[in-house]
Amino acid sequence: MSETTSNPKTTLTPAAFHILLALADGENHGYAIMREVAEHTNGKMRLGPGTLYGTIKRMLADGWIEESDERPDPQLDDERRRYYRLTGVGMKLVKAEAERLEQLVNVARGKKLLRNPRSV
Amino acid sequence: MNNSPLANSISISVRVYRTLLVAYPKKFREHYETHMVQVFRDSLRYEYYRNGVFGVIDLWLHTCVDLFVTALIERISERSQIMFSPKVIMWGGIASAFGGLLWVLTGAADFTIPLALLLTLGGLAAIHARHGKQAGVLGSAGFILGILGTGLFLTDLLWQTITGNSLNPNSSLGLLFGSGLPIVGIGTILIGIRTLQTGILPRSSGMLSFAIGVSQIGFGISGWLAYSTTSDPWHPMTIFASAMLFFIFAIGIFWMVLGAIIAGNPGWQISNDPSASA
Repeated sequence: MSETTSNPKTTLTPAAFHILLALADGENHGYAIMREVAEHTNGKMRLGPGTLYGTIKRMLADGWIEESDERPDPQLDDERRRYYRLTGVGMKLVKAEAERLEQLVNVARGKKLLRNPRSV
Repeated sequence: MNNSPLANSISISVRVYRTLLVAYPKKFREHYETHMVQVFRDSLRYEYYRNGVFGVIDLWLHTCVDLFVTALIERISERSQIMFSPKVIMWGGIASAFGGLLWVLTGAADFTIPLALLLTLGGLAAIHARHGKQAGVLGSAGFILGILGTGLFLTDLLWQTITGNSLNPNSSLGLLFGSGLPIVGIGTILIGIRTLQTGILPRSSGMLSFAIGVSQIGFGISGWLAYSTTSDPWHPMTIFASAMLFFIFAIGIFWMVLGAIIAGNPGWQISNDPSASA
């Protein structure tokens, strides 16, 4: 496990952040992660298979995510699919990054670059 | 799968994509090929049903760019792992110990100093690899200066070999090329400081790097003084020529010991894992 593993100051790549975000509410497989990222970003962020599995490989090595042995009902799903879920470190990282982004959004609001959600 | 045009086109696309995956390193393919193909097949179906043929074409374009970029990243990552492997670090240590021996034997043959420098550059590379991600600005700057200084020193020797004359040590070109060894020395000192800071090798190796760097600077300066005062400082031997001899032996002995330490401590530091930057 690398020194970046538990470092709260680690800056995530956009692909890593979106994958962690997609896994924040439960385990999922590669294609479902890819679809969720596309939906979260209105199709602006498209993870190709290489980006998806290259990032997954590094996140597994860093201990941010782990493979899940549990499977949904085999009748409903292809058993060859590999499922991934967040580890405690991964959850901490995605929270820290979300908070960092929230702070930036607040700064942008303070500079009147964004409307306050209450006034929308 | 039935024989509809859609099934056929998906099947052909998947076959082509699977063939293109050869661009990735073998180890990566072993782990992820099946899953990547599955994701690509699912994406093809989705795009076809949602956006028709144009969706498929768009997916192919996007996938080709993704494949090209990420295959390159994975190949570089694989190379980095080889470069940072304990075996390479060990051989770098052994090379630098031999380089130290050649420094001591300087004068036995014309090729000893350039070969000694190249071999000891292997030692600097091994320490840099051992630092890995902890090399920081200091360690990386030290390694770059080591390469730069060695390059300047070798260019100086090449000039002498081709022209048969030494550059005037007081000319600007002479000063530039003559600064090669002191630059290597500064680089070695920086690497030594970083080694002491990180504690990634025994403390003695940081001290030795520091001592080698100082000796290299001393050798460079005494050599410049020796040749700027007389064309033959060896007959009779001037004080600067004696200093050069002292520094040559010091560099040689220190590198032999440091090379042995590096070769004996090639262990993989997990924090060096180049893949740790998702």
